[in-house]
Amino acid sequence: MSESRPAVVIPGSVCVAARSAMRTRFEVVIGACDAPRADWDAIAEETLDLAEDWHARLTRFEPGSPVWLINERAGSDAATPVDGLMIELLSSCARLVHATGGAFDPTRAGAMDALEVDADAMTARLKRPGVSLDFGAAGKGAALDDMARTLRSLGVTSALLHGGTSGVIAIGSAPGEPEDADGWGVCAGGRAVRLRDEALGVSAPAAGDAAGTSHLIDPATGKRVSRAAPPAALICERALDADAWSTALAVDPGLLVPAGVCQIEIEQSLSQAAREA
Amino acid sequence: MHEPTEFDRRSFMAQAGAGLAAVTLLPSLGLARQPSAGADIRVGVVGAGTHGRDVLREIGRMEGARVVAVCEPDERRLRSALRRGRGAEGFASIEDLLAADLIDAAVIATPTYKHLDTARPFLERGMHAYLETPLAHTPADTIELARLARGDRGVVAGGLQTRSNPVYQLARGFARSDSVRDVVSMRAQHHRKTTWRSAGSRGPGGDANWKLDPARSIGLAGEWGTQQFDLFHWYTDSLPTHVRGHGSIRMHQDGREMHDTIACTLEFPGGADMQYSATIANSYEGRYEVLYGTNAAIKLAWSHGWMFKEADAPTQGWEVYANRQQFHNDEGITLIAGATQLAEQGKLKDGVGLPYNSLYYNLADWLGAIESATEPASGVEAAARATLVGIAAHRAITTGERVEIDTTGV
Repeated sequence: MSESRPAVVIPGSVCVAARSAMRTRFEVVIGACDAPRADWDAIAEETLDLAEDWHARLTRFEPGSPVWLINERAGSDAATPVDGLMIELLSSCARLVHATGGAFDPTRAGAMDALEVDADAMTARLKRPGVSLDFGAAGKGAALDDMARTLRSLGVTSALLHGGTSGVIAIGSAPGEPEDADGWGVCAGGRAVRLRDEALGVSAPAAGDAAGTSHLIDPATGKRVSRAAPPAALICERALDADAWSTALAVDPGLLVPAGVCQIEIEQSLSQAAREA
Repeated sequence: MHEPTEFDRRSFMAQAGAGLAAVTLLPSLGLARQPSAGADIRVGVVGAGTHGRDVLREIGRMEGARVVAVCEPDERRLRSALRRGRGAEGFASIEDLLAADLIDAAVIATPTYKHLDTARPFLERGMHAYLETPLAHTPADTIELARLARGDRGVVAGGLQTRSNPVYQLARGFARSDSVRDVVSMRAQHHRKTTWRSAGSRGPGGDANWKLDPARSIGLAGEWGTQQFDLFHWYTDSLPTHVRGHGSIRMHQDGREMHDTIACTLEFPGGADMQYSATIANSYEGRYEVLYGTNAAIKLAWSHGWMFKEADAPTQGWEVYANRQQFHNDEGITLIAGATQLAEQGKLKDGVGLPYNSLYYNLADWLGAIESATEPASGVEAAARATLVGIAAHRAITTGERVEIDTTGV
């Protein structure tokens, strides 16, 4: 795991649960909740079920998933049925593509104009062949937002959840701390930050496994971003935005972030050490 | 019986590795039944817990049916379900749902102990209904549901997911042929690490943690085992006569009475027993079933299936083209549904594993049966018998007694 990814210290007597989904490990830590302590495990499990639900919704590798079908049918007239959450996600992605000048792009090829969404019929399709959707840069964030919303609806007032530690959401403050404390302590790339009712997203080109190139693709050129590119870490209200903006900044470090998005510096020395390792 | 010569032994050892030969199956298999795009069957889902949400997702993938209503008294669950739907309307009570006259068919996705009370108003109106298996938590409720379904004028399915699973349908042909030949024994397991607690609604009538309540739950054998027991009923055309078993709490020392780990043996006529284990304390190897025969063993894991031939089993011509997978010392034939069509498209290897899960195929089959006014693959009577077996298994485990299985009431 790249050293620029956040490390989480879990304090005291809390409920911790984990599940594998979306090719990573999701973890939920519940520190305080209106429900009896005996119910916290069930709450954590119901929340982790959503990670699997989002995996089924967004995987492009498993035949039958909505994204797989949309990609498979690209260029044809056949529209794919999608649910309300998918409609919301596609709408959010369109907004983020525009806001990041295309540095974040689920089509990875500057082809968002090929995506046709019918919110009344609740269908989606790609109008041109050769275009495909890839939610690798946003899927975990979308799942984390949904999970956090569910935790809050179940009376959780203190929680930390992450999806592979490249995306973290904090609810309230860590257990044992005053209610007005400034949240959970998270360490990202040697930098300690506090999160309270917000999300941290980290994108680290050095974490790629291809020799000399990262797993990130620049939508403008279609080429992989160099592993020498600096990592990006941002704090936003929503994990989807943090996910998308951190990816965008890793692709285009010169991008200006808008108000409401807080970029934090991750130590270059650690990312350099990762490259040299 | 043929005694292999030294030459035979050398040649088959060279070909078969550790002693089992792989065979490819390339039968022709029709596509799983599902509603046509123009069917437009309007479905109401009653119950918006985990299973109700799964139903919403799977029907949401189909083109010939749509969920137009969700019925759930818990406001939080209803809100969450509607966000996951495709424009469905929400209702807090069955009375309100029925009064709206919006639906053609209903999926009953409430906890098991509520199935009878939930399904009754729909069945008494002669509506199409999908009943989850296990059908109920008591023999009396199970038999009553079967009776109501018999009187119903709609298409009523019993939620036995193996019966509409294309790989399982394919494998059944081989299980009942000389490919497997005589059944030696059967085994199944369902392992999944979880608490089995549920963040359900609390207060009077609430269903929070119902699976742990001895008065409302039929335990792992009933809730999980019923589906898997039915596979063997279906494959062997027989029902077990007795069951014995035991259980314990291996991990969840939280004051619960319900066992978190169980094992039982179902005794089938003719002496071929079925061994079953289930636990919520470990996830290794998940859920699968194995049928051992004198010519081959078949292993089924819901989206995948394999046949492991014995070295001395007859060889057939198509075996040369088999798609195979290696499991340590064993090599299995992959059972591919729709293999002929996939081979014609050059996508045979893509066909390993089903694209959809068993619930999808089961719901699609029921909806297809509604459209064609025919019987679903998963009938209520078979589901009722399977439920009675599951209830008996749970009783054997909790009492430590050898329990006689009686399905004559169905």
